[in-house]
Amino acid sequence: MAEIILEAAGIRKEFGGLIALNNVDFGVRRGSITAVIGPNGAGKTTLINVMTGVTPPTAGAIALNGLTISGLKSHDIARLGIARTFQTAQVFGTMTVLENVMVGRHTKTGCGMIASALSLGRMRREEKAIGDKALYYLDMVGLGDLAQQPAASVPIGTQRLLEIGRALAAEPSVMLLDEPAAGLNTQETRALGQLIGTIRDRGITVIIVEHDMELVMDIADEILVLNFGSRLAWGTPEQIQANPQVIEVYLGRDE
Amino acid sequence: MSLLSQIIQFLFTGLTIGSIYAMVGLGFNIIYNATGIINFAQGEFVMLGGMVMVWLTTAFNLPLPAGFLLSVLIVTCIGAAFERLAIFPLKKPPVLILIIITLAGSIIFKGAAMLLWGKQTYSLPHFSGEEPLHLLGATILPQALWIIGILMAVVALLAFFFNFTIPGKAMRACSVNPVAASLVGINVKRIVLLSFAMSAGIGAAAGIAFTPIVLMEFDRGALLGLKGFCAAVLGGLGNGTGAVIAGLLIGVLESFGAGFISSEYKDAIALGVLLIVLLVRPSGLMGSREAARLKEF
Amino acid sequence: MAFRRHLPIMLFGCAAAVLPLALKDPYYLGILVFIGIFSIATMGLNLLMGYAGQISLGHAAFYALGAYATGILTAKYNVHFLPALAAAIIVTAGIAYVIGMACLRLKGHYLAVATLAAGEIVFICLNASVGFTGGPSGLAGIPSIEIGGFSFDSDFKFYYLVWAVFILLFILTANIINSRTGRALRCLHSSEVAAAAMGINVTTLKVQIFVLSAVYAALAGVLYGHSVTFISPQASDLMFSVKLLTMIVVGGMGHLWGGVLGAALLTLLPEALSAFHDYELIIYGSILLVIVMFLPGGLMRGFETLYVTILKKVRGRG
Repeated sequence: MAEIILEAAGIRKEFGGLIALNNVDFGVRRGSITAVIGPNGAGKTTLINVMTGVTPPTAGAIALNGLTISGLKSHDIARLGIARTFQTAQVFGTMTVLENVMVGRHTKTGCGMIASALSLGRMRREEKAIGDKALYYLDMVGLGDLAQQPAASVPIGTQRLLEIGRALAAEPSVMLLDEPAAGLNTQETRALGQLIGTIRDRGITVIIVEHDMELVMDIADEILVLNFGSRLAWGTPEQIQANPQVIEVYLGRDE
Repeated sequence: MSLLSQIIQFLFTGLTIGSIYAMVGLGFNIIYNATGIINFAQGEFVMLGGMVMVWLTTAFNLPLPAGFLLSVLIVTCIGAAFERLAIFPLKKPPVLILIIITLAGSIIFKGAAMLLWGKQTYSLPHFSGEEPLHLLGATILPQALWIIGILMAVVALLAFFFNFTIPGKAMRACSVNPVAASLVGINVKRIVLLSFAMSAGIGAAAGIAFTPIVLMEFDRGALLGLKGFCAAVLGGLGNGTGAVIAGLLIGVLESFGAGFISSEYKDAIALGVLLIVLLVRPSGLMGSREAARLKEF
Repeated sequence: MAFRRHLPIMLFGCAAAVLPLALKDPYYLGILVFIGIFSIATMGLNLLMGYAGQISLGHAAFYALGAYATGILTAKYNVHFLPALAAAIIVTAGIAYVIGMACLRLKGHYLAVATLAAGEIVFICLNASVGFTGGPSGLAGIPSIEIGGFSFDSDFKFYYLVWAVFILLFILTANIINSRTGRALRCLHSSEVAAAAMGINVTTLKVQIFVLSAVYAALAGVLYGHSVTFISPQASDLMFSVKLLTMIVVGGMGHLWGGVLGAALLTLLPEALSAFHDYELIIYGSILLVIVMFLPGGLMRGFETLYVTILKKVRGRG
């Protein structure tokens, strides 16, 4: 198994005339937590969208385990083992919390419409397995008690956890978290940090886009700093904190 | 008739009916730009224009110019009332709900017209006689020139409105960014109201001009609306110039199709064009692809 | 588990089975047949609109296509009913597949207009191909349904056929909704991007459900054609699509019983109001507008909310 699980080479993304990502390179180590930081509009979410096939890159390539995934459709990339959460939580509001996590099992199961309609034994066994796994992951994110609540009715912070549970249920090899701490209080953020640690300990590589520097410096193994779509710096939290360019971007302009 | 005169004949018929589609398409665009709504009741405004005009001129013996202005005014008010009663009270409704609301509106207008005027077809006298003009063997009704003229007047008025008046500029600002527009003090709700009133008025003018040639009845609106929508989409949704050109183009296509291929399938031509455009290039012929992608549907 | 889920429909089936024995007037039997037929059509449309959140304003076209397909085959070519039915399903599914592939990349307003246009094209074609369909005057003389020598030639027999088909489809549909596929379907309603991120092939699923709901409409159309022995292009016009949509909106989008409730109410309404015909359009439009504006979840959800509120009040007191 290679050391690098996800590799991006020369990623460029243009919207009309606007350059959102400019020649971004990086390699994410297997089993690490990599944080992507940068000022608003630096292209962080665009990077996640490009990695998950929501929008194809204008140029450049992304490889998962050495296999090129850029240009594939979202659902194919999900099938290859990348799960994600969204900056503005996108839970399936008309369904229960448990059902949301059950959706996470989609790529790991296979009963189609006909098997479902006829309620074949195969389908019932699979449903049972999906339900059990979903409950397991729901407990892991601490939402077991809310299983039967409609997803739209739980608070935003809870919806973020639910999204993580849903992504976990897919048992991905890489998980992308887009600002999971937004709107959480200090205590919740600390719990989130622990949860992300647990996820990493299960062997899942985590890439996290986050504004909360305390959280990032606390959990990240490596940090990618973006500024105006370009890679500004890459390194360990200590290196990043000591990097004069990063300090200028984050502190210098406020003065 | 020689082929040349036939072609000129079809061309003029096409431009006449195309002018109507263009005006309906403009109506779609005005509301769409101000609100992001596709108003399924747009065609009904055309029908109402014709029917109200018939009613005013027969029941009250109003002369043509007065009837025309009053009819347009009445339908404009109907459009405004519809917005106030059905669109205004809702806060951020989802697209599915908006579609159903304007669809419901169209059915109510249609039903009301049927109740008031029954199921029979009505005609109007031509604006300036029925003595046809002759051009290279083709016969052209003066009414056709009226229709094309009204389209040109509408286009000129709209150009003036959007470029030289405060509400017009405000409406353009809203279409670019409603949040920013409201931040600089534009009353977005009033702009929405204005957009419904204006497109109802334009629809009514089209309906009045059209009735002398094709007659009018309560259930004409839906198909006219659909074809006007074809024009709006083909021209690039939200693009006024595009809608006019596309409307004329569809009218001409339809007229040639009916003349040279089959008149029974005439109505399917515009719809087929619509489907093809939606599939191949949803941004239309003149819309920008990037802009279309950024819009929420 | 599965048994408990299906308990309401089982009870409903028992009630439906004894109802005709209690009805003296065959007139009401005819109405119940129509309610059953519309319930089947709305069930399909509800899957598409209520659960998957994709609007269709052209479903009447599939209803008409189903009716015409078996009608033409049995009346003009003396084909047996079952092969004709198979042909009708295949033809409708095929056409729905083509329309679905074309339209379902579109969303919201665009999808609504595209399906409307597709439906309108079917309407125009049914009117224009006089030699085949009988044109605007319609196709008459559709024979009764005959399966294995048994002929459903009375309202009484037809009633049982229609409601048996309904109950069967209801169980299959409920199974789908509560399955992996059904959950994927309901995801589309909230967020297509999130659905795709969970590995759901959004386009394929949308086309699948579009075809399935078209087949439901076609089945309803087949039953309708053989029940009234006549079909005209009117059945495929926009107004009928709107009626189906109204039934779902009134009963409750995304609620399986909602479609049935809506179908029953809007079929009984014209019977209750003698002057209905003149006011039909206004009434349909007003009902649609009022429900969507003030009770967007439909009556079924309204009842549920009411029930919960009352329950809370009673408990609060006790």
